[in-house]
Amino acid sequence: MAIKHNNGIILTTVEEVLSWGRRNSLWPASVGLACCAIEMMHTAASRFDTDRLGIIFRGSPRQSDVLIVAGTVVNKVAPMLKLIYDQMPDPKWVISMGGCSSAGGPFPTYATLQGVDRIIPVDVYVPGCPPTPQALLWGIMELQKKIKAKKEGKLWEEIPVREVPTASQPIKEKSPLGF
Amino acid sequence: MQLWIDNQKLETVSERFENINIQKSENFTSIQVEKNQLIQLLKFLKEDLGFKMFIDFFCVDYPLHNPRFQGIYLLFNPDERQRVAVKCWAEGDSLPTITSLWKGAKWAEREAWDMFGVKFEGHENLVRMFLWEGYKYHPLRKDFPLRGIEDTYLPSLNLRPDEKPAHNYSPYHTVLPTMEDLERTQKARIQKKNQIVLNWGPLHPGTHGTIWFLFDMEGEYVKECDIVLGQLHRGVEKIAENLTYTQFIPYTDRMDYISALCSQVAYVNAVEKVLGVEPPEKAKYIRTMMCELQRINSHLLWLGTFALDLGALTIFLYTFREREKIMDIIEGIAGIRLNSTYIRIGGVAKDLPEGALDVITHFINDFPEKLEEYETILTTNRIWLRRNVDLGIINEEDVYSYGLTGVVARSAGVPYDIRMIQPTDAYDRVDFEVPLGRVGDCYDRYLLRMEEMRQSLNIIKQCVEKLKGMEGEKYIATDNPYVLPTLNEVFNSIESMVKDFNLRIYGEQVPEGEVYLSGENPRGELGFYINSKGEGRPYRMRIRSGAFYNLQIFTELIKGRTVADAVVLLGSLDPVVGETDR
Repeated sequence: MAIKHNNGIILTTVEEVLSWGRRNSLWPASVGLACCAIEMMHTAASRFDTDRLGIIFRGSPRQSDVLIVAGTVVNKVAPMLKLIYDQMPDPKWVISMGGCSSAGGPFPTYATLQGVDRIIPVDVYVPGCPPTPQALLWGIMELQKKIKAKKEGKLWEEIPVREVPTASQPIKEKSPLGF
Repeated sequence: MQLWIDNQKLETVSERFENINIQKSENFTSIQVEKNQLIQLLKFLKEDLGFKMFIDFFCVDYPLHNPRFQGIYLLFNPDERQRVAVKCWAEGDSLPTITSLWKGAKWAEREAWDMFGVKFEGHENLVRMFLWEGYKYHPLRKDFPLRGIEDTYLPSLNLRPDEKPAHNYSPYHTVLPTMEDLERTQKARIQKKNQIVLNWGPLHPGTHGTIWFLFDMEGEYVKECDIVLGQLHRGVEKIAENLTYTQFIPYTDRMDYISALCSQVAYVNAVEKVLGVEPPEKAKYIRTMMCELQRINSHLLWLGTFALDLGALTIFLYTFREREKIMDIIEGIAGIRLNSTYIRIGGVAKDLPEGALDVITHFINDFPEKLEEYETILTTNRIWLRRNVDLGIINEEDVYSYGLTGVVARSAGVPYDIRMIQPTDAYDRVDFEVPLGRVGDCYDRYLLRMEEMRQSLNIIKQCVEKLKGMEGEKYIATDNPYVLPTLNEVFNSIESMVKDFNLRIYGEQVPEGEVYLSGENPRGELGFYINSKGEGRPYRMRIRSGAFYNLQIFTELIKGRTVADAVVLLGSLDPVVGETDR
């Protein structure tokens, strides 16, 4: 964080302020595709209330900087989703919510896109079918950490691949980033 | 309780028509007819025998038979509560269109063309229903693989150089449409005759998912309209042919994801019918109770989003507060919030946990007050009235012609409720009313859904009373050879373990035959047609979606209205794209 002096002056960099502002006001485009959209609505509604985290759903991609791909992306909708992604101004991030958009989920069929990362780059994958609102909030917080890590001068390629704990392979040691 | 055509009517048909073959069984009764007599027979059934309500049309593929495709028409007689199926072989891969008899067949025929490549002589605009123009295949044919033809190089953009991809990752993918393809799809639907063709959707928050509307507009008024579906077409019917009956239960959740439990119950009832499994009494009451909880849940989501579309954000936050309570109840009982795969063939997956009934009692005591609150805000609100009243009026004729079901049919005064007509589970032992509309406009549908929530509360109350005395009873009929044993039984007896292994690997060996059974979904009649060839997997499964047929009338109702009315109309028809597209 910024260096504080005890006489009331805060020194910081433009980059740092921008990163702070970006990660605390993530505005997602309200695009819902399938079941996950219902859970996304629940995340935004009364109980989980993403407004308190500075997350306000916008109706237009021009005003938003996060695309939450909530639901199954089928082949037919893929070009239109890409269009929405292209319409969003930089910097922009993508959260792939749920199994379907991450890897095709339970639909290994002729009509389903096997992972939204084949058309747009994804920053955070949230597992679940559908993920609970808590899981989506976790994903958003992961994205905030990622934006913070990127501010520290690391290229995207340099951020190490995060190990995901599973029942058979729990993570043994902490990753260098300290997640 | 069976609803198939009686013998007297069948005799009348066989006297009138030669060369017909009547197949009568317990679960399905069909009349097979030659192609040249098809229209005459359907007309006779409609006009003389009272089968005036169109339920469904679909095809079945028999690759070794000549002609290859068989079309099946399902009709319903609303006065005498009887169903009949008419089968006809598609000679030369084509059938005559029946859109002159029932307008509701328009989309069903488009779907048959899209999925099987069966042409319809005289159809007004035979285009692809779910896939796009230029797609080369007809995916529900038996010779088309489930995974499609993976011929396009489309690697993951996220794969780093040092990363090992997942075991089943392939850089090749099925073909994606280009923007030109989609433009061609749009042009094939609607030709510009007036000032502008306005696209609404597919990724618009007001379209309840991914429906793509095309409005041909004159000023602010819509003159022509067509709807492009398929933005959530995942091939569920194709998946069903490749899975065992138990494995398919989670997919029924993901079709109509807002009312997952109702879909499961409708599906499982159809499978139980063809297997001859009778679930225990307790399971029946649990199912009914969960169904009604889910119905309230679904109607609350409808109310919240409908009000949100009309500008009342407060209602959205209020209804989602209540939804969270129901979701917690469902999570406590089934383990999963939204797509709870709770119903099993022969019963339910788990027993009710301790205290579940207390929580539900608490909820049903608490909820009427909230319902009152919503009605205070909305029912006599001036803006609400002006936007809802006299919009989208549906009459009885439309209901039969388009095959409308659910609240949309009942708003027109047609008492079509599967819970009453063909009660499954414990619906014949609980007391409830079916509210009917008078005018058939959006306001009526709003009032009906509010009243239905009250009726659901009433049903839940009766089920809770009944379930209180059933503690410790069996919740799944594991004695039946087709029912998966519980975990406890698998771990403690070798017979159950072998049975579990057999059922999971080979599936339920369903006897040869056909069945059509439906359930009352919050969105309308959700029917399952299962065609079994005596294997562990269905030969053909057709899902008759209520929302698919209900949405079809939108194109008629919006003519001459403004775009602002389209939002209200769509909200009051309440489609779910997962179910319309499957």
